[in-house]
Amino acid sequence: MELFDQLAYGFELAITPQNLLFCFLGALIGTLVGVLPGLGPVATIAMLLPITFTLPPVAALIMLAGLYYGAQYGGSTTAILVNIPGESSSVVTCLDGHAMARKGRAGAALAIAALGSFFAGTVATFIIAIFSAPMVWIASTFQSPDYFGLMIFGLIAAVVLAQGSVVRSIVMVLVGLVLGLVGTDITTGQSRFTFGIPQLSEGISFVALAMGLFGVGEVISNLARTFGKPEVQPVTSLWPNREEARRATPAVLRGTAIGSLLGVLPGGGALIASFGAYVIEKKWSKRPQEFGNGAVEGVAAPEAANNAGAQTSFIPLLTLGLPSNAVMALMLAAMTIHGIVPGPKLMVERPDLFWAMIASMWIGNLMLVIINLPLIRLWVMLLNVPYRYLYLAILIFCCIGAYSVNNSTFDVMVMALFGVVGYLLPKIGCEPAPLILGVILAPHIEENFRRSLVVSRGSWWIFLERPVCAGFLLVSLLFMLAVLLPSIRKGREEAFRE
Amino acid sequence: MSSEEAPRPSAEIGRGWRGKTDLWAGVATILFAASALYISADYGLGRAGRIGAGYVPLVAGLLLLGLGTLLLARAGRSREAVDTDIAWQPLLLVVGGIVTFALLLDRAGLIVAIIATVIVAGPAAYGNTILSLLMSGAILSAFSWSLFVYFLKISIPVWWF
Repeated sequence: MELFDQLAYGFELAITPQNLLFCFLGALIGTLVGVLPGLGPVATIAMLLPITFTLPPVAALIMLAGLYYGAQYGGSTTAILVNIPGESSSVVTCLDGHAMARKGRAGAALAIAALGSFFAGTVATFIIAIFSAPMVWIASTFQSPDYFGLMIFGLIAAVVLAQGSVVRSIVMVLVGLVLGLVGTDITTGQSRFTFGIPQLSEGISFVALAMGLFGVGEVISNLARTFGKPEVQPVTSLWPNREEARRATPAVLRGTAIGSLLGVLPGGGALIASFGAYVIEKKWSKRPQEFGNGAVEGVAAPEAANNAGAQTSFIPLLTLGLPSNAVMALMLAAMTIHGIVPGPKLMVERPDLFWAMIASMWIGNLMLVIINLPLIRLWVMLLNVPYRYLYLAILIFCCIGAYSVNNSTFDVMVMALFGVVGYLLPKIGCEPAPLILGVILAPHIEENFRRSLVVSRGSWWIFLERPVCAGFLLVSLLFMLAVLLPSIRKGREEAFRE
Repeated sequence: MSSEEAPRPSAEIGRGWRGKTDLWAGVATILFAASALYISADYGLGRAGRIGAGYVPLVAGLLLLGLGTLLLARAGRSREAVDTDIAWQPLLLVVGGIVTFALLLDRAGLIVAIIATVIVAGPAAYGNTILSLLMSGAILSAFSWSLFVYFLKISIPVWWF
């Protein structure tokens, strides 16, 4: 089996004592920061990126994988123990996970979340390995107009499938697009939107922007709330009893299937996955009245779906170079910093990096089970640290992180500015996540747009003449029409209210 | 990108169409689009087949202008109210702390920058005293030094010399 040979090759590269150590550290630090209340995976990963800078590419990727899964799982821990969701996809975990914790089953809920996530992660790793080759084959037939169409489709789908006003989200994407153009235009050499500031000639630092929008903005809005000491539920027995295990197993299987499917879609893949899995469990359950009061299925299915979705959302990134949500945009930025360009060429030109990355995802998942369960009491201790100390640590790490990308204090200023923007945007009903996608995709969209027009000598018809591109644009248009039609809009609002 | 900042809601809004998110999002969008179009006006559109640096900014700016107008137009029917409750103190102190860090790092080094940042941003949270802030600053600078400078060997000035 070629597939297993390739996976084995990946594991061979990934499993060295040094890499395992970095994966372990990544998962540990990722969880450590991810556990902190009010800090989602985007801010966590942005903050911790600098610690991978000095590593060789494979080790850096492995550490990133560890950080990513650690940050995700840390969020679930906070959701279960304190009822504060670190990101939108853990909102569902709060419902039954925290209810279980209040009934004294916190340990069981955490163990089910960890083991369910691990199972889902294992299945999703195989799905990535199986589907990557055909995806890369399809992508290799793509030309510039097709890539342009694909990116437009990715952005539109991300906006339509995510929460909030579609018009305002498209505005955010376009604002991001303009911000992403800041700097020297590669083709013409023209400086754009730099205001004569030399530090802007290479563009706005993506890490500083992401940390400002998601990290600093969050800190300010958390400080604005009057924070009491968080009420952390005690963890007693770590093991689910037989009844809990029996109920969790089929839920994990269903959650994995739903999550793997939905994660591939652009837009908050993991978010839709966990919401979808929860709604389905509730509808199919013989005891729907238990949901919200600590139903085991209500923890197991969304956690599995969340993790499977988080993993399969790597498929569009690794095979097409298309980040489908804010976390993937950050992973793309992180890989670019290490000189790795995700996309169809990666698998052909650097099979070592590609398969090592996939292998390290699984290792990252395994690390989580190994370190999280034994260390659970440490996370509980961390949750008892008052926010008035924590936010200072968060701020300092953000500052050092923003500085260390380019060794530039200007980037720290940029982060401060986007911190203000990140705090104010939600006040006028705008989500910062689509903006991030616009920023990261801007250079790619412009380049493919430009190349297409070179081929067609300036005619826009080329986008309709290429069937692949025309197909993507048509589906994007249908998506747009769908959300603008009132009946479907109502259905969408209801789906998010669940 | 100063126009990206949200307009300051004043005290009387919150009633009627003036307090709607769509209105303020629309105004911010139009301001942003107008400044982007103004700044990129002389970037050059190029010619057919070889688009210039100003082509995509023009398209994006015009789309934004259109969407901003759409937001304004539908503000009357919208039900979402803008959140006028701005926490000025945490906002200013946190941003001030970060700016302090940026200003001090190259001049005075990491340790001084961290302690100063903690002291500036610290009063944003209820319950912090000067003593607890000095302690936090000391712990954070020791931790940051050992993690970033000693262990990860990230190049960052530690002292002013």
